[in-house]
Amino acid sequence: MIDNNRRSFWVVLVLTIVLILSMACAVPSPEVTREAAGESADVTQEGEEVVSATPESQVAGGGTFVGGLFGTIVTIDPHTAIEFSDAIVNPLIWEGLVAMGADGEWKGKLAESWDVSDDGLTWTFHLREGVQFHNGREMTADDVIFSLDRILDENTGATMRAHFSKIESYEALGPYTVKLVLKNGAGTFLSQLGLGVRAAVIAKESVGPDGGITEPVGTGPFKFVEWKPGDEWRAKRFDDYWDEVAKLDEVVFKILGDDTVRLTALQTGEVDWISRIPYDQAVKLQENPSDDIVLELLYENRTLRLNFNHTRPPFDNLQVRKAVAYAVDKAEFNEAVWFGVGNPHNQPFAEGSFLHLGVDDPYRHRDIEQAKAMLAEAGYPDGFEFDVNGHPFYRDDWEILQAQLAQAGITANVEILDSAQWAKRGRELDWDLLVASQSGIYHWDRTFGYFEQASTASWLVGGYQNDTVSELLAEGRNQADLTKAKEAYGEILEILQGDVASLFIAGEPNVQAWRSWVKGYDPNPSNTSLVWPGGGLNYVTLEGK
Amino acid sequence: MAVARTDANPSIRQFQVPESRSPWRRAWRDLWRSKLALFGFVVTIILVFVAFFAPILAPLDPANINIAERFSLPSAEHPLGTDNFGRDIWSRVIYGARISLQVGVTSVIFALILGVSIGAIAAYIGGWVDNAVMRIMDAVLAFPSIMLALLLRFVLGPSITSVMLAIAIIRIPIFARTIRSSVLSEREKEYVEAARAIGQTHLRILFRHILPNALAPLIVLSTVLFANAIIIEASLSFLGIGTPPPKPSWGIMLSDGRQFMQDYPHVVLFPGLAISLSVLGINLLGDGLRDILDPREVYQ
Repeated sequence: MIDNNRRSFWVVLVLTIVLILSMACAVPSPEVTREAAGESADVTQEGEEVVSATPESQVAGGGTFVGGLFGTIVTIDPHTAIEFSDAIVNPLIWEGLVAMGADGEWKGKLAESWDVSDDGLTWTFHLREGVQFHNGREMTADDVIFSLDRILDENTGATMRAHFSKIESYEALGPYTVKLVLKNGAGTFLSQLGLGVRAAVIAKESVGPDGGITEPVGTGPFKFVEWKPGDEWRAKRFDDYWDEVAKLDEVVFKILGDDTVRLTALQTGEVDWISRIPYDQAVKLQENPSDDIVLELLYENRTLRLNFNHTRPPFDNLQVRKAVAYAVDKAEFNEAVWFGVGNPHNQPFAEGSFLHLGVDDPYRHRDIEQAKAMLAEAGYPDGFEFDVNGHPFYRDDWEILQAQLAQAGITANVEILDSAQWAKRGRELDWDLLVASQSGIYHWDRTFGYFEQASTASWLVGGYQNDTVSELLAEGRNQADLTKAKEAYGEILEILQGDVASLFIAGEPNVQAWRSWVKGYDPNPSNTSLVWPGGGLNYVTLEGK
Repeated sequence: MAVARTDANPSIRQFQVPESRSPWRRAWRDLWRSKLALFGFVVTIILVFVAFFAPILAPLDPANINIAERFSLPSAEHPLGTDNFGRDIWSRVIYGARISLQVGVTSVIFALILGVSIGAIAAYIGGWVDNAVMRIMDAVLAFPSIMLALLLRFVLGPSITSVMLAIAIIRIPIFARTIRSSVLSEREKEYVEAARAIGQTHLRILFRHILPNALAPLIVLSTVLFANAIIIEASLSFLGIGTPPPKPSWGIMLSDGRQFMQDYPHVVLFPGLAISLSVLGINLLGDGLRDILDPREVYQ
């Protein structure tokens, strides 16, 4: 018996040691796979450059700025990028002809100025002279032509290709002049040209034989160094930048998907900047301000809305839609789902933005009696039931809406579908109510353009159709003078509101936080990137890090 | 034939004389002796009781949202505090028991009926039928159960019924296998031969004679899989594709509360405890039943 025990003791001991050793061996393996993943991407990495990261010239306040991103970077090709993180890092390297300033107005970037013909269809861009690419070559009209060619080439898969199909012709009138002729749609043209860097001017040296970006050569304030997909992204200062030359030596973005991990990394100083902080944490940080961390809630043009299916009962009935609009408590929704940091509104265009339309919100305050009266008028004195196809993203949102509608006698049976099923049923208009959000709004047409059946996204707003709205939409799209266009869009909002075409509930803020040693950073609410005309990371210094 | 039966009876009676109490009575006595099994039994009874009387026991509507009172700590008004929408956690945990019980019972009964029928018939017929059926069952078993449940839930669509069906389907092969091995060993015994000799139908032999003798492992298995069904339901709900809102499933409470766990641990603590306690209780009951119903125990 004793012998037996002793033997089993040794067996256990040996097993334990083996286990510990095998665990120790297993630790480095993630790094190996990460490296392999980096190599398989279509980006050439210059390993040696990484090692010699020491700056060529020492600048006061320089150093390495480290940002924490919540989503992975999907591509460094500005023409095909659509993901949130891509939109944050790409503008550090690439630039377009125009970009949106902090005041929501269009500013010249690579274009110094532009002229528009009286009919709004002929655009002449005068390029800035002496702008250098990262490889030292000067940017000229040929590069603009090359970039437009690439965007319009079907094989590129550029996100702006469909929008740019309205360009009839384009040509270089000289080394610094480009002329574009449009078929129509002058009003929205600048917003499409300046949407992030989706229409960036790239050097043809960037493009490999297969048409993809192999070596990013742009004109931005930072030069691309390396990208390890799913892990980190690096760029360094470009000393010959045409505008404000950066003081930072290097910019690194790490992918920290988990909210808690990202926030902790900021609190420990592992990263200097993060975006997207859970709202409950943001509120906590606001209430107990810290000397080490600066927090800012940015109200960009963004909305979460309730869309009605206009093609089938019960929501094809105006009284029923009004009942819903009266029953929804926007303020409570904001408090419940977003801890009160959102801004209840009647339009996606944030107050203070040029795009904001001065139209009052008739559904600002909840009115449950009105809601019940509307239901009775519509022939549902005892309310009704309907099924909801919920998107997993919006489960919390639906729980609140469900409770609010229930108080008016409307029973929403919520079923949570996966994204693919949700989109399929959505497109088939096989739903009654739909919650969806929209961001990246640089022009009214981005939101209102859905409200006619000719739009490809018409299904998202339930197939709404109103001929007056369609006429006004056409007017707005072709109006190159944005101040005049604004009047048309104000009228559209009045009509949509009268029809309760969609119920705009509230906008979520873009929450950013950074260490207080980051100086000179004043984020721009109209632009999700970290570089914009007159501000951004190229104005930032690190002091006392 | 009537003569043969009367002849057989006295000898059987004689053999059973020392064992005067019925096997169920003996099981009941053993349950009282085993502390752990008794604990499991009590927990299970409480679970059933709570689920059954939820509307009486719960002080508040589990879907009642009150933002002003979000994240309250346990108090007299809210014995377990409130969640991120200010809903009463105590009421939600109580109503959650209903869902867990409903899902557990329905899926196990469904799996039991189908699994036992498939397994028993396959084993009784034997030959290529047995082979074909059991290979299909093996194929189903080869999938990780949660993966299969996920897949089935997507195919069946989003509702609590499809959650129950999905859980039931992944459990059919386990019942089929268990009953098959019992039937295989029972099939060759004399009493079956006797029944066959007096000309009883196959179905009657199978369900009247063989099945009652193979019942013990099924009871144990049912309890274990019942506990398991609660976990799978909670997992699916945690992943956001289980019980649809506003039904307060324990899994949903966990997944909703997870993001606030650091500051308000009570939001996840109580639904977590509810899951672990009921699963532990039912498993202990299952273990106890296995010991009690094990025929070998009788002779010890």
